[in-house]
Amino acid sequence: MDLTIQQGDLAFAVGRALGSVQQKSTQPLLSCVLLEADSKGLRVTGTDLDEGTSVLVPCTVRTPGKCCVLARHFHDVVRKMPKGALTLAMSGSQCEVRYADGKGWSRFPAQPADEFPRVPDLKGDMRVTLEGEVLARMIERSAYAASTEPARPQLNGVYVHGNDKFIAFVATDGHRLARTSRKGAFGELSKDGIIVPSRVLNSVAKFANEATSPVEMRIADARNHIGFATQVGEYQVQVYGRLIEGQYPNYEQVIPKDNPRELVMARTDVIEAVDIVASHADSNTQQIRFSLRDGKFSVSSATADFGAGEQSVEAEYKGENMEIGYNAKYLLQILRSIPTESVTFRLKTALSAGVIEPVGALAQTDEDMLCLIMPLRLPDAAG
Amino acid sequence: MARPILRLSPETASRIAAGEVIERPLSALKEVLENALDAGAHAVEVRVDKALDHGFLVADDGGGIAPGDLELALERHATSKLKSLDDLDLLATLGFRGEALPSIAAVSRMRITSRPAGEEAATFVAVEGGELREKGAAARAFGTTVEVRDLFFNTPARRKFLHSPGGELRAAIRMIESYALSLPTTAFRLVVDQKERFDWAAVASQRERAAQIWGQRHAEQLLEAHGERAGMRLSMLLGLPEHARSTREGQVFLVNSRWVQSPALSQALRHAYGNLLPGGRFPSAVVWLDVPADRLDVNVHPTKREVRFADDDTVFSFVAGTAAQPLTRIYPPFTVVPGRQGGDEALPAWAERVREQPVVDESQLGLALPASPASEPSPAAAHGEGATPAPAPRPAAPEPELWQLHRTYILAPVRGGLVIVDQHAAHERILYEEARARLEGTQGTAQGLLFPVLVDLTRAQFELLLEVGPHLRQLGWDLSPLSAPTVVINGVPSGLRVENPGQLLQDVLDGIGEGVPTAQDSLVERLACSHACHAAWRAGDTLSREEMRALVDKLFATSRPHGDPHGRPTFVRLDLEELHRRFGRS
Repeated sequence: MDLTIQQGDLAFAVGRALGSVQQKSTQPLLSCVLLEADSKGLRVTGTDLDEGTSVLVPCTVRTPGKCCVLARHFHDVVRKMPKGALTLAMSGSQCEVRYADGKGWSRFPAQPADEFPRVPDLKGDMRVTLEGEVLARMIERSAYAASTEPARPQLNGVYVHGNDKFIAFVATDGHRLARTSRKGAFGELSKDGIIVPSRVLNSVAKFANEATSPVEMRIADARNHIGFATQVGEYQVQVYGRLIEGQYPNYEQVIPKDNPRELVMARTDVIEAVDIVASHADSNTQQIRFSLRDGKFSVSSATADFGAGEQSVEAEYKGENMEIGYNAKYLLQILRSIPTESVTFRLKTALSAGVIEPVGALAQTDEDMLCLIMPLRLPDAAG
Repeated sequence: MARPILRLSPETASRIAAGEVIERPLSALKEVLENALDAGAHAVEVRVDKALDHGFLVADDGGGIAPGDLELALERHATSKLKSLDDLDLLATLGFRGEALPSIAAVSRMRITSRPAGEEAATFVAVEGGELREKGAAARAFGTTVEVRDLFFNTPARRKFLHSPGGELRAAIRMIESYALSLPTTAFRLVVDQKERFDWAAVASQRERAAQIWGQRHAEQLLEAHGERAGMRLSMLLGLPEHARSTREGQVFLVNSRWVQSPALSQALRHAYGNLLPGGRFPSAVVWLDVPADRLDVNVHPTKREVRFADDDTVFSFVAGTAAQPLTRIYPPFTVVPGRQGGDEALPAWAERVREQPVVDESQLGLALPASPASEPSPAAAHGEGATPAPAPRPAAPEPELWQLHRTYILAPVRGGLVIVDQHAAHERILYEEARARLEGTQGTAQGLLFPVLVDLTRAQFELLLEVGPHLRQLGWDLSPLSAPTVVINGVPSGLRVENPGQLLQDVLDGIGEGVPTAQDSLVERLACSHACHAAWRAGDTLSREEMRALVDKLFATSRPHGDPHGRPTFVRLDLEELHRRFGRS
């Protein structure tokens, strides 16, 4: 291996690949990034077997070759090197980097690359294309609601499905649910849909916003792997992930269609009220209370440890009096994910799922979003 | 003080007949020491020459023995402490049978020197194997010295079965300690091979005596309890739960000043500590119990190490109830230290530098690239209009820093040291108390489930569910029975990480089902225990900083933070002093 590369390019590639490297790994090789030089340039890959990031950077390759270096250490050192051209070459069993016109050099112990896990080859599989910023936005509006508990792995991911009219991203942990959709022809996804680990999507979201070309989602025929590929300037970035197997719960049947009580208010007002009042809530349950009385709306909370607080919020509400409990953390995440000025709560009883939706059209008129939240059953809740 | 010595009537002697035998060197010392204390000594000195069976002496400043009584004292069933059988019910002395001295004299070379108050000089007798060898005048201050040498010299078979001299000496020290605790106003001194082991001056209080024996620091930590009931008087010094031992060695029972073993008292203590201690751990404690002499039988065992109470149950509930009072007030004797706060003298200056960031922010991994072409857009920018910016990252808060160790323990710096909290045990204690509160009062909230869970219970579980259903609702479960034995879970207790509601429900039911509930109260107790045990975080669960914070805060707000409901300890404290000592900092 012998090549010349710009320091900024190498640092970018190694930094992104590092995003898929676990800090503590059982296999020493998984603490490394793989450096592969060929006629296309230098490809830097990091993986933890469930997820992988690979960045191809154009550069001048004199001799192709490959090796593995400790990811974090290599990254830390490369970041500090002066801007400008670097030459990478093997020197015995070490990877040598010369910088600053040959004034400086670093050598890194290198591991043989043969045993580094192979990145799945996703050629000739199903492909779906989305603009980078659209993909990033859809991830942001859904992935937060996914579960992190290992007991039900299907809920650890975002359910992506579609047909010839739309594509939808759905996530839920059983307590709240977030769904966002975009119009378009996505007939490829009509069969079942796929569950993408939210971890993989969080890695994707990081570069999707910077993408200078549409992001191509490649789904393996066996529906066991997914890859996201795009250009970020000159860099070709790909993120691979293992799909979560299993049946996603039939979420559509839990979306209430006939919640008659409508509560409309300014989103920032209710965020402020919930945020303040939650300071008095139990740190585990995060329980706050919505009180709807005679057209007036207030948020309150009381605990023995943290005292009590209440704030009234201007709201339109035409319905019967109602007391309903919520987890403030869930509520804030939902409210913060909604971009519009006002939000609507559609409620039925103090025990049934509530729908939270933006009021009016989103800036992107071909997109839509909807959130569900299950209340906390208050001891004195009725109706 | 010298009391005349009289022969017991043959009837009395035979009734008492316990066949007092000096079974080991320790018993010889015990008898001689008890005689000294019975003589009203204000200071007792014990000297050991090499080993107890080789030679020891006990010198006191008590009443002494009249010159004419010296030989009589060596006769069997001759005593100054008891005149007739009726007196046996009103014993105020440790000894009473008149057997000890002759028994020891029969198997050793013994010399008694005594000078009662008012006598001009002391007299002595020397006995060998029970035979009088010599007697005459001697020089001595008021009091008595009993010297025993060559124990078992004439019974070689017995000599072969003696304990090791070291073990015997340790047992002797424990015995002297016990009597020293029994009589704080008496001075005790022990000299072994001319070297002083201890010299405890007379003190006014039991706690001061405890400080002499175990050191000031330990004695200060002991909890005190006092009580009076039905003519009984009780004082206790109770060890903290962390002082508990795996044997009963840490327990000293002093009944009417007599050092005894008592399973009844031991059980009462254990009962008082309840779930502050795990199974197999025994509290350490000193118990001074005075019982009217007519309600206590000390003549149960030849060595008088056991006593019998006329009313065991009363004594049990009296001791257990009195001991429980200070234990319920146990509160951690420290406060969690806020980190990064100036002027905290408990933490040395270098603590700042060796401190590592406790929780790594995953989102920052490897992305802080100076040469990155585009910086991360904030969520707000992605939304375009009207979006609220994500909350700013918390400033380096003046909150205490907490670390999670191996996803099992939480390390919390505290004033003067470090506390290591077992996350499961601690959470269990918190949930247990929350559960008790909910079962007795305010209903817990249920987190509704978007996807209700169907669980197929066993018949037994279903039956139990019907019984405890209302209680489960109090805890925050929202259940509706379907056709037996299937149940629908609509909501789970809020604030828990319920990974698998069905499994949790079954585990909780199984936990209660162990054993047959006898009373409503015990069913509730079992439900609370089972709920806490199965719903608590386990070793291996990653906790966020907020969760750790809440866990530590809530643990120390519980009534008994020291132990989980099963009595396992919830935390261990590591003193800075201890660390300093280990690193050789003086």
